[in-house]
Amino acid sequence: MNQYEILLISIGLAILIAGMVMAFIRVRGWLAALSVGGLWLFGMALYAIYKYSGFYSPTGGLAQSTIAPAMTTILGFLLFLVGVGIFVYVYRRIRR
Amino acid sequence: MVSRPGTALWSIGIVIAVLFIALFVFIAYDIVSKGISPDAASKWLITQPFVVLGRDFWFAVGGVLWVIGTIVFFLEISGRTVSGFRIIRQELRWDAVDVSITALCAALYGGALAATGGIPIIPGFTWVRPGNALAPLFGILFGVPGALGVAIGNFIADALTGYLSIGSIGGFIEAS
Repeated sequence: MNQYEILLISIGLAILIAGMVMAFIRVRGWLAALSVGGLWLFGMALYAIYKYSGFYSPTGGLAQSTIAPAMTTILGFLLFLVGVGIFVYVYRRIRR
Repeated sequence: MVSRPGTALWSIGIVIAVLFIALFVFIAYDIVSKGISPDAASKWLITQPFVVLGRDFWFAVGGVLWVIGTIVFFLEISGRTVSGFRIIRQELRWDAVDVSITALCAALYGGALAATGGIPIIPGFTWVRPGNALAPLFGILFGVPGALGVAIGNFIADALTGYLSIGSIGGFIEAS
């Protein structure tokens, strides 16, 4: 891991821990901080999986000779479907 | 007959739109006439501000805008907003619905960017990214939770497309 990766992981952990502390002392916004920290670390986990699978090109972007571009498209659509699912959940909850 | 202000505004809007479209057509003509290979990019009219003023100038401009954007970002998520020339408090509940909206915007924006992230217009130079159109839409529809979701979605899309770096912190602020 290089220094920038350590910095990015530290920021995600700091937001997550801040959310936990806010929840403990009952400060409003703790759920937002927890979710932002969690999603930040989810992004870093995706980065780690891609990096150690050799999906990144040394010059930046995805290595076109691997399955990375197809996998990114599939993962993108899956993520999009998850978003649509949450949208339906929120819409029903607001209507109730 | 005195025209209503609404009609005048529409007329000005249409004139601006026509000029904007004409500018894009001219830029497209300029690019095609000088060659669409990345090597010819330094000769295009659209790239002249970057060629003439240089990278350092634009880094400085970007730095200033980033600082302003960061201040506004922290102002908004701390429950304050700018109204007129004053900073006023605004009600942010951050309940389960708001957090769900943040998650849904992150998933939709990140997913859309990753899934549609590579439609090149000029290979190696510029791409069509339809997912980017969702960012202002979510901000307008959902406010701060939507903007925060877009920021996280941008971060996730950076990881999925191979551009996650220290600059993604700037992208996080800029996207929101």
